[in-house]
Amino acid sequence: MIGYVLRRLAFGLMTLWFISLAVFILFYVATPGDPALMFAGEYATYEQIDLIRTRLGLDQPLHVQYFTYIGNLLRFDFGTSFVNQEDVLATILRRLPVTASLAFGTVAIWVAIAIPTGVFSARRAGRLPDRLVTATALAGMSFPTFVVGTLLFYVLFFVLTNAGFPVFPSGGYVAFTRDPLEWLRHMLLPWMTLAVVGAGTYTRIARGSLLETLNQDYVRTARAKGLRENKVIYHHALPPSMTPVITMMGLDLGGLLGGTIITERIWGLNGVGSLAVQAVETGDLPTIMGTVIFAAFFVVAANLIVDVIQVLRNPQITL
Amino acid sequence: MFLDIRNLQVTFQTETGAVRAVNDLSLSLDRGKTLAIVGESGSGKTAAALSIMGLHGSSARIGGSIKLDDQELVGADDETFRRLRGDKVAMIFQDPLTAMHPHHRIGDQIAEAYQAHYSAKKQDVRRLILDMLDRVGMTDPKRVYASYPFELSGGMRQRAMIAMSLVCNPDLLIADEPTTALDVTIQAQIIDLLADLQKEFNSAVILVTHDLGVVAEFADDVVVMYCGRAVESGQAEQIFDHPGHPYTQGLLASVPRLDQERGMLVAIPGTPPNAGLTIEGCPFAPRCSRTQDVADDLCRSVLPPLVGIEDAHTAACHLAANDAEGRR
Repeated sequence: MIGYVLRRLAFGLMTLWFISLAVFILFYVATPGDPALMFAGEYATYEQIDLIRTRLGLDQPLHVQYFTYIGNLLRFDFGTSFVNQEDVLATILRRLPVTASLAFGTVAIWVAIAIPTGVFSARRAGRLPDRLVTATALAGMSFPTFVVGTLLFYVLFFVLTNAGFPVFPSGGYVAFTRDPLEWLRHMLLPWMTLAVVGAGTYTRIARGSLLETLNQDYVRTARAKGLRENKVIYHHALPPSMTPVITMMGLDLGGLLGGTIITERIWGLNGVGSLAVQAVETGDLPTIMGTVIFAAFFVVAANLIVDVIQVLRNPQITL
Repeated sequence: MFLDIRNLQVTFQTETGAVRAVNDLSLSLDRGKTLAIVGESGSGKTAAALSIMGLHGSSARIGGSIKLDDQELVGADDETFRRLRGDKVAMIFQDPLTAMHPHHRIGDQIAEAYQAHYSAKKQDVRRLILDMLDRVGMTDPKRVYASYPFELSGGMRQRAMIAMSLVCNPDLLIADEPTTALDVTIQAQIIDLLADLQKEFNSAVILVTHDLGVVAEFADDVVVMYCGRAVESGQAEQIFDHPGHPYTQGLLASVPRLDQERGMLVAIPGTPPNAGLTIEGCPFAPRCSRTQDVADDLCRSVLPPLVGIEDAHTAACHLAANDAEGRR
């Protein structure tokens, strides 16, 4: 088991290194403009630009720049922003609670909707309730986030507030540690935005996987023993059928932690996603690099955790 | 009669239409006796067995009558079947590897079968199961109790499966091809074990199989099925000594024997017809070597009824009555 985790860990680090190399090539070798010019701004003198170039190490040979870059990464030093001279890692970490609230809440809602609905649907496979669930799930999946977000904004904020029921705020973030209730009030609509889009996918996966498991011989055996149908479903069929749901969850959680651009934008959440967008808009290279590597880290970490969970769930795999 | 099945029909609704898996099957069985249902794949033998336990899905329509201890099971509700399953009627499946839950320990899987019907203290259940594992010939019951199915050999898995089916002391045990997935040497052990346990528990046993060797060793009565119908039934000696249906004759001829000269194995030509088709006449006629012995091409136009050819021995063949006459 420990050997397996270490092997997976090594593989994850390899992936991260590969991504960091791609980032380096993109921003140091194939960069569309001179980073020093971007940093200096429009009214800089040649002397100032040269000074910046020296300070950023851009006048060094490429391999020296690469080792400096990798060395900095290994010390978790992503550099300072071109725009406001703030430490990139500190900025990302300051925004992480916003993105993490959004990501974990969203995935929790997905699973909380998908598992009961998937079970309901699979138990009635092919009949009218199942078809209604399937149609609803497909409809939800087909909505783009910006449409759902805008609709929710209009109905649940604008219309409700105008009618004299200011239940939901228009956006923004309140830290959980400051006021848990306000945090919840501010997060509900962003969660719903992402939930509508993702819950359908998860329901479809849960339903399909459970249906497949229900056809297994060991489920027939469970019934042949005289177990109650609920026990057959929840104790025998559901746990093994969760494998694809857990895998998807890991992938999505990793992706969401890297930042959700549209949802953060709609609801005025200053998370990692909106930081990345701002950085792209302002040409803030260190911040772009930081957010990319940060997102990659979460995807790799989530994958690693999911793989370990899957192994722990299956006694047949002894490592 | 303990188990009495009359005119059983099992029909599956599929996307391409209705498929009749069991057609007009009647059989009966006493406590302590073994009935073998013999036939090739798709002959409806498993479908018939599963309908006794109500294990068909919602796509199946069951007709006729199944009486177990005078209780009618056709049309019984889910809860009636649930109480029956595992307690009064238990089943042993063909492949114990797929039939057992891969992520649950053997002991827990057996305990569950008991606890579905009886409540008892945890230690008592454990003791009962260890005893049961011992009785099915496990040398180290404690280790087996804590094992997962994949950790056991095929033979041990099937022993565990048998322990699971017997834990509530069922009146009727249905063994669906219990030895097919096992090595030949293990097959004999399992059949011996089943025969011993049957005596001990005095259960009625339905043995679903295509293995005539197993039938000869273990069964009191035999029903031969073809295309969802019983084509012959009788006591085991009757069927083996003078089979009345050309299909049974073919099956027996295709078993290699040590006391005869070696040569080519005898095979029945052709394959069984598709279950979805409606057949005029005898379903076996296209593969039968004796249709020319019957006048007016009767085999291809009239379905032969089961006729008695001797006491307790019937066959569904136009020639059976004549053949029996000739023998006398």
